[in-house]
Amino acid sequence: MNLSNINWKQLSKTFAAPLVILLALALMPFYGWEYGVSLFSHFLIYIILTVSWVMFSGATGYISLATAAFYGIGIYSAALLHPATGFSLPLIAVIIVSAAASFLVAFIVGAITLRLKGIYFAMFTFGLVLLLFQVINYVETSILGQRGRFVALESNETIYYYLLGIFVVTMIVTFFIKNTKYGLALRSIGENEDAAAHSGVNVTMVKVLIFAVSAALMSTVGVVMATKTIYVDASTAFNPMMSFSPALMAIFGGMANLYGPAVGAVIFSYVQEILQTGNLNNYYMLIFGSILIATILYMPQGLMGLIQNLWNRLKGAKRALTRG
Amino acid sequence: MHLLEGKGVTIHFGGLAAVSDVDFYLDKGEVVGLIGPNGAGKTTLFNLVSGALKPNPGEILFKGKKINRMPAYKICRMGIARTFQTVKIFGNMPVVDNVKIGLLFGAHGKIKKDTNAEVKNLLEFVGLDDVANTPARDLTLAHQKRIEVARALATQPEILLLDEIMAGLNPTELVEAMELVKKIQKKGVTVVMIEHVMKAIMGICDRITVLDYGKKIAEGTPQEITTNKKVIEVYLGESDA
Repeated sequence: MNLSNINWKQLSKTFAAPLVILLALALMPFYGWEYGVSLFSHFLIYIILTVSWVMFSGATGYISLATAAFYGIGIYSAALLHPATGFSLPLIAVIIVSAAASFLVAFIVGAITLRLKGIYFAMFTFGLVLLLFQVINYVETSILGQRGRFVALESNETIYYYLLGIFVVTMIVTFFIKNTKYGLALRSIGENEDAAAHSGVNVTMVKVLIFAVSAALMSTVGVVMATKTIYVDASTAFNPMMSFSPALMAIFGGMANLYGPAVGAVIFSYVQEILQTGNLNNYYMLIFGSILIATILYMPQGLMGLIQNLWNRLKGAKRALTRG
Repeated sequence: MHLLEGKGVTIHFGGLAAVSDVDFYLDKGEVVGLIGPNGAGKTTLFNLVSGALKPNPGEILFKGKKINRMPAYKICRMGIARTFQTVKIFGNMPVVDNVKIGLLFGAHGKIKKDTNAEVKNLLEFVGLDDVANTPARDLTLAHQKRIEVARALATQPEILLLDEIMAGLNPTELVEAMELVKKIQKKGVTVVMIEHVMKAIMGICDRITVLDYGKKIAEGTPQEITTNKKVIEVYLGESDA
């Protein structure tokens, strides 16, 4: 790469704000705000899941409900390779193994199912969550005769830093895909798959590859989160809400740029946190659903789309298009 | 050896033979017209050549190499590009990006120089350089058809399949489209065009193939086709005499 071609001014403009935010986040555990560390961990989980979900589904329009499956693979990787007693791999190694396993599963599943379109793809991917749940449940109860497993705990700070690291990797991967020809190919597939194929895009390969990359990222979150709870079993690992939440958060935040999904994830997971810890627990799903219906009806571009529209309106006629 | 050759190309949709035992060929540099009544199998034949459908039975050879089992993207990269009867553009992407896709993936390493400059050249070539950054969906139908042409040309094809790029155009746009096809031929690209606009077909094509009910019923120069009895029957109905 020719370094003199890089526009440093442009580059610093793009990366200055994210770097400041990242630095502030990195120093989080030193603020002495115990709750902050766990709250922001909670945010990071959903940001990573939502951004990885958008990486594939946002661009192509293939609605995947397999998030919980890959998250669950992460949890079980931790349960098997990082257990409370006996032989245990270091967490970073578990993360790598789990990412590789998820990548492989997603690659195979993707190769089989990515010719399905619309609702059929969504249903199949959701079926994968249920399938993995049933298989693991069966193996544990009927063959091993032991339900659930114990995972070695990690401190809140360790969990936080791992999530922050995964978050940075996720953002870099997203940025890389968006700014290379593969991002363009992915968008063209979302716009018109036939036209993309006849323009030389290896549609199947691009779809399967990005689907697998996003799955790998999702599973790493599962690994880290498993170390927060002592006991995991199939029903906690493959919780269907983990499939729905990222999709809903992305729709709420808006998928046009990188910030939409992140903002959606933070707002929604905060609402979840307050409601689920208070005595309004039972109302969480009700409020969640209502907000979502309102979003789809009144701001189809999501929160960021709404802000963008208001901003354009404020700037007003000065910037009106000169040609129709 | 012909540039492109089809032998006994056939495909059935259910019980219907959409294309039935059709032989065809293309030589470098020609402009060939493909005509026939609605439902004759013209677009289906394009789909077979471009890899959207696979013939059964039958084989298609490009430069002597069998391509009838290849996926569409490989056929495109080998040098056969197409446009679509109902426009298939990337509507929410700007015009430049529509063309860039063809250049980055279709040409696939054939372009060593600056991609952006090449995209600009192509947009100038089809006359869309002033709307380069407009989302493709905001353009008129005539312009959207030109996006498809530019995107197809971006893949650096040797053969270009144009599927009714002149349908629904007004007289001025029609003249411009005819000019464009001539310009493409001058570039050295072999062109096959499906068209219902007879003025265009007769004016541009070196050779015409006529399909009816999936079968090839005539082939020849525009002169020969206009006087062919079978063709007249198909278009105007049988004479009582």
